[in-house]
Amino acid sequence: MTDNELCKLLKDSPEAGQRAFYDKYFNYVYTIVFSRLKDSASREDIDECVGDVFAHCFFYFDKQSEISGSLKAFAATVARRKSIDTYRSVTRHSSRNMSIDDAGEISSEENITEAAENTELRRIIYDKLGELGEPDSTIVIQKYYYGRSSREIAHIVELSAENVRVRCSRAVKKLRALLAESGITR
Amino acid sequence: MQQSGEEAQGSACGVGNNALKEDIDMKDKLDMIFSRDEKDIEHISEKYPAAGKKEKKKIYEISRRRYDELRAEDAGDDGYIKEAEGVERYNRPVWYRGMCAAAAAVILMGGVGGGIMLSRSSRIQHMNASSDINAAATTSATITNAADSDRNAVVDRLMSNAEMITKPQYPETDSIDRNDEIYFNMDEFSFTAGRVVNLTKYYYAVADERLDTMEELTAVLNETFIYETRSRYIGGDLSNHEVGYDFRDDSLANRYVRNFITYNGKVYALSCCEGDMNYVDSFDNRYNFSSYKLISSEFQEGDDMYSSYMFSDEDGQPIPSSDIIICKRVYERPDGAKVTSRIKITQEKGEWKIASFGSNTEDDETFAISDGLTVSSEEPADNGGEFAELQLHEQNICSDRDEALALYAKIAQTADEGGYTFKKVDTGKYAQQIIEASSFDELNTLENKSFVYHMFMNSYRYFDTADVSYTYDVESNESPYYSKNRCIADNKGKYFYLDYEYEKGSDHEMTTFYMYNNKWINADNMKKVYSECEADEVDYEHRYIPDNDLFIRYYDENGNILYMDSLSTVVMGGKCSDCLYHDTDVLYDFEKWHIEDVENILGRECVSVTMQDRAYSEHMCIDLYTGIVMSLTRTFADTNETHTMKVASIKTGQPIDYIYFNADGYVNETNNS
Repeated sequence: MTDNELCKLLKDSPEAGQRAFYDKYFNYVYTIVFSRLKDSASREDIDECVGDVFAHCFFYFDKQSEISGSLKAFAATVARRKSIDTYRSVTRHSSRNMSIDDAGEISSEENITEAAENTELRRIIYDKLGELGEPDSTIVIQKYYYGRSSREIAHIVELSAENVRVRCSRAVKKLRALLAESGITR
Repeated sequence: MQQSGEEAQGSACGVGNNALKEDIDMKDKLDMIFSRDEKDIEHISEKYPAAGKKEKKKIYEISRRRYDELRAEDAGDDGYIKEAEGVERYNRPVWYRGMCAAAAAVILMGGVGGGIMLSRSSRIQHMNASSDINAAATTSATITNAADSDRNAVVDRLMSNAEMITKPQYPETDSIDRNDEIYFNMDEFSFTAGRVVNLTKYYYAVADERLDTMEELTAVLNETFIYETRSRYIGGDLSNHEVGYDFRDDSLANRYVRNFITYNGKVYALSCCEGDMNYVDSFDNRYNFSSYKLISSEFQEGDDMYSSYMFSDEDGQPIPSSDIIICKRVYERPDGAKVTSRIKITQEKGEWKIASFGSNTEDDETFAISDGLTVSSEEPADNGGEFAELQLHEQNICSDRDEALALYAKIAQTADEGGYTFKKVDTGKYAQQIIEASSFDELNTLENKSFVYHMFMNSYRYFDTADVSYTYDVESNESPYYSKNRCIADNKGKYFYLDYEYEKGSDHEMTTFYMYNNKWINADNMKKVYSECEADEVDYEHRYIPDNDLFIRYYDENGNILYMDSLSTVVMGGKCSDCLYHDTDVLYDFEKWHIEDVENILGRECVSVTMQDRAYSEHMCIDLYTGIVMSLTRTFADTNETHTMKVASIKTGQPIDYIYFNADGYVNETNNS
């Protein structure tokens, strides 16, 4: 469904439109929220935050006489904003006393160089991850990024938990070998 | 995110240390591809499911529940949602969002937070229920209202304690022993860095005999602050840890690595800034109330309508804002500068206590420079003794080009005839409002964004003199370059100096621009040549254009929005435009940017702003009191080129020595250029 079709559906049949919007952008929104909160919030907080993002999107759509523009960009903006709110509500400290050195860290020359190197490294890792094929690449991602248990991954890839464990172990060995072939050993 | 119990058990029981290490290695590798970079997020979200069906269904149910709550709130009578410009939506602060720790932490670090806690109404014993709201005492000597005298006595006592507690947190004071320093490390999330960073927390032994045992300190805190506020001051006994211990793996570290800790039987205070640095936000400049003269003291019953922060009492019950009293005080420092302090007080078990306090200074406005060497007191008469009303942003787009041309002509004529008069807005009020914001929505109100826009576009009207050093670098595969800049400016004295050293590949350039006596001089310090030309009258005060009229746009026949012209009053030839003098429309479209947070850079309270455009993304930190950009990172989407501007040092509102061009050894090429 294109964004234009989705915009029309949101006005013609709001609930169906909201569901379609949710289905289309769930992965995207969840990934944005997760990337920002994974180090500070619990799984429940992240789920609540994602739910809140969509609630605000639905509410916004209700208020518009006409919906236009990039729904993806809109969803991303709301997701980033709500992530900040959630971060603030789950942490008990702020960055106000961050030293100047830390502030400068992100723009330092060394880090920009490092970032360029990392970009290449990331491309290789993406490629090698893709070479694992499905469902192995999804299993590895779910385990090592989203931190999900084999049982939870089993629901996602529709395999048994035991099967997920075995596949994961083999996939990691294979991935390690593929990365080593590309010169990534550490 | 913690690993599940199942995974942890697997690691511990059977797999062993090697497997665990390999697991960590793999996680590190994969973490690399999960940055917050938009490309990574798009890649991952397109290729892999983010959750299983069950979790997705659960989250959908959460979203429906929250959606129903939002609709129910909207059906209320308070006009929860306000439309702005028919496009952008701004949420009025919502009380229940108030439990935000960030704002509370601000209270501790900068003393500028916003929040108050009261015991429940049944336990409230008002000082004087019949006293006038906003009753003001003009000077300490003329406080005649009995209620205000009563209140002022309470505030005097509390602020004396607050000053005593604040002092050891500033290492330049005599309340600490500079020779007895310890430090610890811990992780904190940095909005500037966009990630968790490892910070070193420096502590000095408290030397003030009234606070140098935990019992004494606790007693003073108890009689000064409400429970929730004082709780955040007291950390733990860290004697079991080596100095320098890194608490990065301890998720509870923020509960005991706090403003005051105990170490080997002594009390240590967290240092708010580096001990040997000179900050505008020093203790003497901001919190040394007992050395200031009290100019006025006003009281307001009830919390600010903008404050969405709600404290809880000792039982965790939220406190109604109506039980709060705000005291706004203006002091005069010995150097003549004004310090404005806002103190929120309430009762706890029948005793008046501080919920939050903070202060702003007017350092940037202290001096006016009539020439390069003479200092005279600045005349606040610019504002006629009052502040201008902040113009809320409206993006006016003309229906066609003809209308845009007519509007342009009208605005230009009004400006030429002196029809617009500039007055400063109340920077303290709006800055405080932004600093106290406790959620994204509260940060990004139309008013706050309009204020940031106003300061950005009128920066040079909010400082008289500046001496700033900054770097401007371009990271690019094709043509990277690096530059070092020093800019000295005196707006009222109509003086400008920009010394500029630039490296691009084998090119090395050293140029200095001077502007004085209505003359520009451009000196090439490598080739030893210079040229001169007449300078346009730098009359920024009389060339003021209201914020909403600075840029004119219109719809073309296809409905596209086109930019017609700018009425921006470019000063100093557009030089130093990334730092001191901004002539861009980068923030004009409010849909493209938002306020991320507030941060302190080189002792200045700044607002960090993120902007996303098709062609580039930009992150800026803007000084809330002068509009000066303290740092900037601009990344271009097509080339991935990154421009970075970063202020290394800055002084504003202070006497400056003019640097004049010395033509000895230079060849005048004016006629050739």
